[in-house]
This record gives sequence, C-alpha cells and structure tokens, in this order.
Amino acid sequence: MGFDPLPYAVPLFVLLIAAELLWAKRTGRMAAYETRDTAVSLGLGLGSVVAGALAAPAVLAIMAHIYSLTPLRIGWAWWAWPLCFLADDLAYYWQHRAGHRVRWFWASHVNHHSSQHYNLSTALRQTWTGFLAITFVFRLPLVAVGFAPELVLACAGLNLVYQFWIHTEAVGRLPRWFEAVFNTPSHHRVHHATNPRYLDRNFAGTFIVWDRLFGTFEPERDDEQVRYGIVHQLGGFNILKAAFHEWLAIGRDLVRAPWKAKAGYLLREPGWSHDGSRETSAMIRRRHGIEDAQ
Amino acid sequence: MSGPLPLALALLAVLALVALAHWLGFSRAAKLSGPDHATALAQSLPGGFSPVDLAISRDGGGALLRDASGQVAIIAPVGAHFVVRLPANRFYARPAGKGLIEVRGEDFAALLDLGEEGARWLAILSGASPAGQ
Repeated sequence: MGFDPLPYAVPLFVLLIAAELLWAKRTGRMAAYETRDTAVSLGLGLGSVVAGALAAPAVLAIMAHIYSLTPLRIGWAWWAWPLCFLADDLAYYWQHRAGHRVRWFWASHVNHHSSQHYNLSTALRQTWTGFLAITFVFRLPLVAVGFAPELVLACAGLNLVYQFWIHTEAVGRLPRWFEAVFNTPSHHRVHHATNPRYLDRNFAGTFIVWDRLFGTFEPERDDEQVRYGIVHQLGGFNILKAAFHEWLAIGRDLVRAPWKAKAGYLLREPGWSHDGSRETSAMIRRRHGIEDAQ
Repeated sequence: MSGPLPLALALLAVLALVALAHWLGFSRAAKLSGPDHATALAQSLPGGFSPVDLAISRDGGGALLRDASGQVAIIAPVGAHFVVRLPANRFYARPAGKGLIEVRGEDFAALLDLGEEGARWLAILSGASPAGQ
C-alpha cells in the first residue's frame, strides 16, 4: 500500500489532546472533557485503525480493479496531488452528506457524533464499520477518471488528518478569508450540533466551499449555545453500543416494519418511520420554524 | 499503524490520555442548573415536550417531568451531561430510601433525591411505566 499519513500524525494527535486537556483545566472549562467519554472516543479511534487495516486490502483490490478497467491515467506528477486532494474532498463531501441523509451510511457514521462533548478526542471517534457500509464507493469515481488508487487513499488520509484540529472549542473564529474557504472549528462545531438550526449542515472535509456551493452551509451564531451529540443521545459509555447501536436499531426496525416499509428503514434519512412516529432532521427544523434549504 | 508494536504504543497513549483526563478532574457528575435547564432538555425530545409539573433531584443529578397529557419524561445523568427518555423506552422505578427513587431503563439509570415529592412521583411513574414499578 502507498503513503499513509495517519501513523505520522498520531504522535501529534496525542500531544495536542494532552495540550487541550491542560488548556481546559487551566481555563476552568471542566465541561470540555469527561474521562469515560474520552476513553470511548479514543477506544473507537484505536478500533477504527484495526478495522481500517483489515479492510484496506479489499478496498485497495476493488480500487485496483476499477483502475485496471479505465484507460485514463493521471499519473504521479506533482500537480496530481492537489488535484486529487480537491477531487477527494468533493467526494468526501458527498460521502459525508450521504452519511447523514441515508440511514445505512448513518449507522456507520453516527458514532463520530454520539459524544455530547466536542474536543480533539472526538475527532478520533471514528467508525468500525465503514467497510460494511461500503462508504469507499464514493471514492471509486476518482479511480475511474485515472487517479492511482494509492494516491486517492493518501489524499483521503491527508483529509482525515486535516479534520483532526477542527474538533475543538479552543479556537474561536479565524480570519475571514480562511473561514470562507476552509472548514474550521467554528464551521465544524455547527456540524456536530443538535440545535435544530444546525442539524445536517456543514458536511465539508477540508474546503467549506462545497457547503456554500450545494446549499448546506450554516454559520455559527454567537447568540445560540451549541449543544453537541445526536438527537437521541447515548445513555452510557459502552463502547460496543457506541460502535454498533444504529446497526442494531436498523435490525430491530427491519424485523418489526411491514414489508413495503423495510427499505425505507435502510435507505431513508435517519429518524424516518413508516407511521410518522419519529422525527427526521427536516421535521425537527420545521417544528422550530426553520426552513430547509435542501 | 501496521504491526503489533505501533498498535501497542497507541493503546498506551490512549491509556495515558484517559489517566490524564481523570487526574485533571474531568470525571465530575452532571448537575442541572434549575427548572429552565430541565425544561430545555425535555424540549429536545422528538415532537417536543412542554412540562406542567417537574421535580429536580436535590443534588441536580436528574429530574422527572410531566406534560399536560400525563406523559412523563425522565432526565438521567450520563457523565457530565444528561439524556432524556420517555416511558416508551422501557423503564422501572422503585423507592430506594427516604425520598429516593431509582429509575432504570434500557440504557440509562438515575437515583433521584426528590425528598417529600418522592412518593407522589413514584405514584405518577407507576402509572406511566409500561414495565411496571
């Protein structure tokens, strides 16, 4: 396998989390961290590395097969790197948006959002079931147009590394030009919020321009305190429940639902129900008088 | 991160960070600031929730709320935060000492110190819980 930036970034991750812990203590922000929550987040991060390593050969083989079928070759010229990173970030935007709008993908992504805290350890709260959810399909078009699979995976890794530092309350707002182009702590706090106004907004990985372009951007407001987590918050710190609870919920719904509604519980948005007994993000937003721009 | 040694190092780093968080005091219990806090939490329930009656545990560690239709919501602590649950999420409630009510559900638990209000709320909960008291 090609260049994987993640192992090089891990020591920096550890140092920055330790620094943020000390900052939170020093500034009296004792709600910034919770020990068991941190343990679950870091445990999920460690598990995701194992799950990713197990799935990597299969993902790479599928990508290599697609690459062998296309006559297009972009190669490894220097300009292929920024071009691939940009294209990968666009693919990530749609993967991430699907991860919030399609329950099948949400089941894999929800654990990243299930902490009621927002700190650098939350960034490492990554999925164990990405391969099961086949989220890598969003990257296949990049290979089909001629980017080498190893290059695509390296760019995906760099994108993930970029997203680490934006999971913090320690950084307020950055210069306007930076906030206009890049995903920032401010933009991503909105993404992790359960406030109705903020639900399903700011799906960007590195470049916030995709949200501005596709109508999903919402700026952070000074007059509204952000509440983090998911609509139905987890009731404990069981790491297995954090990793698999939405898959189990899908299973229960599939068993109970009438036949014609079963596909909806897989492919409709989270919160959808055939009898209207639950609420989707759009329904919550409407209940609070917020128009859905999508 | 390939190979057992880097993974073992990452595990050590995780344990060190968790120990640091604990040592710095990030293991505190959740505490409701008052009725407004409890009401705001309950309003996050699907469909909303407008309480007409509520009781907050004397230590701020949870609350019980009832709306005009008689539906009861439970606010239970999870670390430094709370979860809100309705009886549809099966639970049971039982007395746990003078004024104390223990409420347990599929994924939450709360020990509420309601003082003189305890008996009244226990009766309300007995009627609200599908799992029985």
